[in-house]
Amino acid sequence: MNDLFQSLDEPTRRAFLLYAAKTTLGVSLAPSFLTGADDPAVPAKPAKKAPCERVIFLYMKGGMSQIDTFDPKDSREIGGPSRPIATQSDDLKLSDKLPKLAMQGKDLSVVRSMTTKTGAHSQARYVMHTGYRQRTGITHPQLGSWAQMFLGKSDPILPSSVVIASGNPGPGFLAPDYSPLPIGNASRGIKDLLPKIDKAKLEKRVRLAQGFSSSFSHYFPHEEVTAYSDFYAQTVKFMSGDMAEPFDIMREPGNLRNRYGNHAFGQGALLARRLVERGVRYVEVTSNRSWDSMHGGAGNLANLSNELDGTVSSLMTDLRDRGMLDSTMIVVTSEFGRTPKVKGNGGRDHHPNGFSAMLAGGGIKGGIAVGETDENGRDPFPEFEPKHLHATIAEALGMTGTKIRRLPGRPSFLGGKPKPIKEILA
Amino acid sequence: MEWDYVITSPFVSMLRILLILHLFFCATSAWAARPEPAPFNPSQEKVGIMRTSVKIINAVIERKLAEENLTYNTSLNDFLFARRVYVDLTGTIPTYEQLVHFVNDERPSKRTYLVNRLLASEGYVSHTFNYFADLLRIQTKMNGSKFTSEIFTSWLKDSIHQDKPYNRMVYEMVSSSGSMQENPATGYHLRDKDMKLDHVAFMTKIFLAKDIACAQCHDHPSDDWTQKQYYAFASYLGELEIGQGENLGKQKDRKMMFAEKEKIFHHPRFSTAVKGKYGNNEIAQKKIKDFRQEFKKLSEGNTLAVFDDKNSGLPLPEDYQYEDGKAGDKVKPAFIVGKSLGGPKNGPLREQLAYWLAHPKNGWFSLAIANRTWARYLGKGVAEPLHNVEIKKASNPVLLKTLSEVMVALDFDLRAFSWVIVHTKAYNSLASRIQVEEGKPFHFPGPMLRRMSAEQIWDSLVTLMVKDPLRYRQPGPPSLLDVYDGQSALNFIDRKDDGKYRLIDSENGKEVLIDGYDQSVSFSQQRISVSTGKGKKQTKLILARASELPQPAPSGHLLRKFGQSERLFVVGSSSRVGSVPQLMELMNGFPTEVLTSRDSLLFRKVRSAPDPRKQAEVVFLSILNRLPTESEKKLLLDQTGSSEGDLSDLIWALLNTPEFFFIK
Repeated sequence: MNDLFQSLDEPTRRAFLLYAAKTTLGVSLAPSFLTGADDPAVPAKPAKKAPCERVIFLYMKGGMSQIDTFDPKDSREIGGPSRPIATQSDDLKLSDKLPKLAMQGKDLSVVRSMTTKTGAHSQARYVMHTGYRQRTGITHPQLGSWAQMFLGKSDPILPSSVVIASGNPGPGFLAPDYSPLPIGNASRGIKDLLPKIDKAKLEKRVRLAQGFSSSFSHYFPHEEVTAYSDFYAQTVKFMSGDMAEPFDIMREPGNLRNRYGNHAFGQGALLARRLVERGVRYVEVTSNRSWDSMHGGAGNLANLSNELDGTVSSLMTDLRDRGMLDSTMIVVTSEFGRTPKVKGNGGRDHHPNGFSAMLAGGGIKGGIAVGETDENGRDPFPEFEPKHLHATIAEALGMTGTKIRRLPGRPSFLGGKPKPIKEILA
Repeated sequence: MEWDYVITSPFVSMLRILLILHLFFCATSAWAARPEPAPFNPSQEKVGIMRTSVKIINAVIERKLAEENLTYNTSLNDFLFARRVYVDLTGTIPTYEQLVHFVNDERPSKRTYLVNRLLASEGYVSHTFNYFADLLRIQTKMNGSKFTSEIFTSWLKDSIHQDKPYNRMVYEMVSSSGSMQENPATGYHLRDKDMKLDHVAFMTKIFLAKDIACAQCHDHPSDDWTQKQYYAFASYLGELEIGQGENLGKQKDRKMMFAEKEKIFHHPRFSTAVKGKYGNNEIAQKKIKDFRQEFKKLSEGNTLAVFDDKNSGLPLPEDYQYEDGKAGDKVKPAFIVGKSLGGPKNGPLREQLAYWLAHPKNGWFSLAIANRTWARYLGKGVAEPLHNVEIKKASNPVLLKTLSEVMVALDFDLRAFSWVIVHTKAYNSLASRIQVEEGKPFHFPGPMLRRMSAEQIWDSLVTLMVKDPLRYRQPGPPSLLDVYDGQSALNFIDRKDDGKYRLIDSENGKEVLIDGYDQSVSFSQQRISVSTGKGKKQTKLILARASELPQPAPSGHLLRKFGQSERLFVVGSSSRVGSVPQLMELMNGFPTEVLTSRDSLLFRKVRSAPDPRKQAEVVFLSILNRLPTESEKKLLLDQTGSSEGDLSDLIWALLNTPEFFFIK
């Protein structure tokens, strides 16, 4: 086998790998990927079992106020409507707006010295999703796509990453195979994507379509055409199982649905749990309400933090009850934070300089705060950027060798080679 | 210097000679007696250049094919030709009627007649707009701003419609100043507000086929450009500023106009109008406040202007690391390729840049668009990648230079240039059966096999669903001139944020209102009221052409699944590769549901055919634009009956064959 590899020149070797990948993994590569890229379909096997097997990333859109959530301050001037309260852990205080999470303080930790270089929503959102600042000529992959690249598909049929109600940038320069499956409305799941006809009829139609495809596919034996044939096969396989089931939260008990919260964010978090339980590795849920509280007063804030507190604490409890909290990481963060100073109207401005991320569960040491902002709530120390958060998650997932080549042959690293935040890893 | 504009190719010198001869002998061409009423009407002289160019391009390709021991692929039959030119020139497959009409046409020059007609159609404008929207990364909602780009997109569509020469269009964009209200072409610069250096990199990729982005941060790795050269070129845009420009006289007028209009919003009549609509209650009070704020934001956006400021510049960056300059130095402007071509010496730098860029003697400029346009129709550029061309790497350098010369000879008339390409023998041949490996040269014995673009797939589905879809077009941008009293102010502002999407029915000038972005709508006579979900959760799609939808379409839309670009940071980033969600959409999505339902436009056409065999033919001709083969007829006989359910199955099956979205 080694000799065979050595005797092959690069393009043929790729062709061979492609063949191997297709036959053994059922993975189909898009043509754009076959040129110059290291073959991604053969994932590097992690040396040992990783502490974390799946990730639920809860994204607070609009810039979550860290002072009113995970980085409370004593000073009334800064704290505004929030006071610090003790939690189950002696080493961690949270805002009094998060009483339910405070009761699980031993199982969650906070990075308080997150920082990002831009105060514009869309750019900062891009950085938080990819670890990179937006640059001309390239779109970077989101975290779940990176994970699929290094760890392989997490399930033979289900997608490896799902994003719910999200402005996630997708697979970036990776092939569409690495795309997260987007779901708009958690309560509807993928109903709109599934066949509305019965199985026998679907089978008949598929058979017909295959019949009518054959002359074209034979006449044009191009990779693009074969890739489409493969995608058709995959899609049919995907639909022929009971695909609605993993995506259907109506099958969860009513009282559990209520505990997660009767709002889009709560139901999204419930769907996330249901999906990771069934084999999806990475699920992102974006908050339905925006934290862009520049103009909003205390009432708005109370609603936002209520939702956050109720949903995240229920998610943690639910995962713990199922014995999955130890192997499932929960991340709560935002594109940036909010200014320590409360404005006249009760709102806070954008604050990219210092903000917080909460981490809990798989691979995470509980009950601590890492880093801090100064007493005025301004400068963070030591500075951690979104890419460091990504590296931390990657480390917990066992994503080794986080580097690939992309066209035209420049090496690319997850987040550009950052170090993980060691202190928070278990 | 790689490019020497004095073209030495014997073919090109021949072009000029042949051209003169041609004008002599063909003074009465078929063109003069063109029976089709079409405004695509080039001058006699231009027609001569067009016909001659076709011959020369054929000769250049044939010489190469002979060298490589190759021949043209099988030539296209009428069915395949019609499908290809409809898709390539108007962005959609032909309707059943259009196809049958063309095939039955017995005139010897029917292909030319068809091409002339398609080049003069609204479909051409729509399809060409999609192409530029991808290149220029057009977004309806402009980033972090209240104002939208509709004024610019209208201008772009008009420019295509009016046949503005491409170099004129680029000149107008690059040299534009003022607000979008005053000069719509400024939308080009406003798109890249706060990213001047990136703006430069986009510009060279699109207009000069040179990728210098790496040199933005460091010397180019393959030593093509140094960071200093990058800054030298970027200096031409150094004085470009986007903002309120307080020191400019015009700015005052702009502010005055808005201040005048703003008064109307504070007039008691405005409050009365709002109360008239919303009732004399708290809601109305809140609306009044919101509307005023809304208008204020809007006017801030609209007073944003492009201007030149002599005090601005693009000095070398803080982390500049080379010895040929130091951080903060201003660099003398210099062109990245070629040399100065005269023109204004003392005017604003941007004026000088625009003059040079769009000049017919700027070889890289004509080469870039000629190669791009060739790739649009033949599936591959003569040189790749399209945004970074090296002539020595072209599969056929003579062809590349010839195309570039033709572009100049035709005065950058993109319709005439397209006419030339679709008349070449290569274009009239079947796509190559066997794939050419990446990196290996392709010599154009025919086009490459291509998947349709996302827009072509969507527009083809719309063609199947809606009769004459381009009847419904985006309205022109709202104008402040429409605001003159309380009621008109309310009309103006209330429609801005009412969450409705608007189209104009161009046949009667009436507005079509659509609730919400992914809600609604069925157009006109035909009822396409199939929808998914129930009650308030109903979702439908706007069945208008891609060019008349928000740019880009919302994520999750069929267009986006099939690879419509996000229009963020990558020029021309639309993609044509497959994915599972695409196929789920085609198998189970709304368009397929509409098309397989019995009250669809397609179904009604099918039903009018006399017998099951004919009905199946109509389905084949409508979707794949060809007749069924013998073995397919047999398959039909074996597998299906003649009920309407069986017809639905057939429609479904043909929509779900790769042949439907490839151009063979």
